[in-house]
Amino acid sequence: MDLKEQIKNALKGDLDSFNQIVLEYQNLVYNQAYRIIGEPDAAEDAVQEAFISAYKKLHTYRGGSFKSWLLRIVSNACYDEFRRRKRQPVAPLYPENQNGDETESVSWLEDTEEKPEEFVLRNELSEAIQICLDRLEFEFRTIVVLVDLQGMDYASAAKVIDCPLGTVKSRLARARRNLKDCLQGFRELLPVEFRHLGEV
Amino acid sequence: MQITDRDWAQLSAYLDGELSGRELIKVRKKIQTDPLFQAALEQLKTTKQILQSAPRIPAPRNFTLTPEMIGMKSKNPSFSRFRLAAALMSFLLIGVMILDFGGTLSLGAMSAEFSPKSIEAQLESIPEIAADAVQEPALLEAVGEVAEEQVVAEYTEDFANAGAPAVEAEAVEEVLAEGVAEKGQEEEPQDTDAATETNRAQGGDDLEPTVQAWASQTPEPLPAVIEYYPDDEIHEPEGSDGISILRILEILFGLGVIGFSAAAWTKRRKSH
Repeated sequence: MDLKEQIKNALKGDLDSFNQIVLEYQNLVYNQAYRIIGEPDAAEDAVQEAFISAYKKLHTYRGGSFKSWLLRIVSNACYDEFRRRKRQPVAPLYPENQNGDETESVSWLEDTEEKPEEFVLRNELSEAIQICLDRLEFEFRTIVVLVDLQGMDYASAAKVIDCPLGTVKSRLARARRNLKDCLQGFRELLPVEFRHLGEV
Repeated sequence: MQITDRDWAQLSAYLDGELSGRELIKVRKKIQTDPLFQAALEQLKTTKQILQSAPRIPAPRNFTLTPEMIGMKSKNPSFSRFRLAAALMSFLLIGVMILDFGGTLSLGAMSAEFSPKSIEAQLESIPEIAADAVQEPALLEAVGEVAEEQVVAEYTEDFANAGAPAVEAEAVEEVLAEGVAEKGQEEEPQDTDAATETNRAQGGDDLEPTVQAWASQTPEPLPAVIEYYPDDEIHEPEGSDGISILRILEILFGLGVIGFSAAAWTKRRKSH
């Protein structure tokens, strides 16, 4: 059954058809949510809310890119979750060592002189990127995730965040600059081909 | 030369192939001529590559929806249909029961007319009519025919119409006849004789055996009737022709309620 058929059936109230769409898109949606929010639990909540919202608003889908339509809902759900978490901050449950420092946090690995190899070995490049993404403001983070991580073009991204093309262009450029500066701190953790970042 | 925010935006867009026309030519020219622009472009390119190399994180679980999540009631059409049918049957059953109950009340009131006291009172009045009747042949005829046939037949008919068993009607007829006989015999014997004579003289031969029969009969005590209709009981007449239509409908609708409810319950259990 193709996507159009699934959507058609889902609109008739066939939840199974919609769940097939969920299974097809849940990795994409979860990645989007996780990269925007930065917390697995919050991302899960946002994804679930996004799919519920998508089901209820399915009648508003007027064709075109379903991925863009869905990611827009996810971005809104992430924004809601982000604001909710901001109002009610959740204390991290990382264990602390004798000095009261978090032992599992990768923030301390930003100092590459300490144990960068261990960082790489644990394949935490993803986490380093996440740290840098978390340092961006929500709007910039969303656009960079849409374009660089999800591979969307500017027009689609503009539809997702409901902003003009010029805004996408400027926000993305600023986000990339900030990320470039942030990732320089993790230079030793990056793959060899990327270690020249910021050297020029 | 410093790279402005606008330049960064142009370079970023150039990197993504989002420039066209004059902007593209202008940026391309800057990159070719200015090493700073070249370096900036390289940095952006690397940053983009790093971001693109970020591992995809698989969804930790399935996010499929359940009816409860979306506040959706069961979409099982047959379940809904059975439930609706059960509700409809319930309403119909209640309606029929109300009709039946109302009908019973009116029939009950009708039955009250045939309560022992009522019948007794009416029976008591009949001998008076008979007593008057013996004084005149016409009245005697009325007693003989009206009391025996019309009045009794009326009661009999009423009972029959009211659904009273035929046995009851016959009993009333018998009692009425006996009551008339007893009253006529005990209170005004001489008058009866005189009336008989008068009647005979007028050619009313057919009345003589009746009067004689009355005189020869031993009156039955009225309490026998009272036993048949206890004071504190209002008899609910039953259908003389078996079960009434209302009862049949009640049974049918009752079975319908049970059947559809059971079907709806089974469907619901299956859907869960």
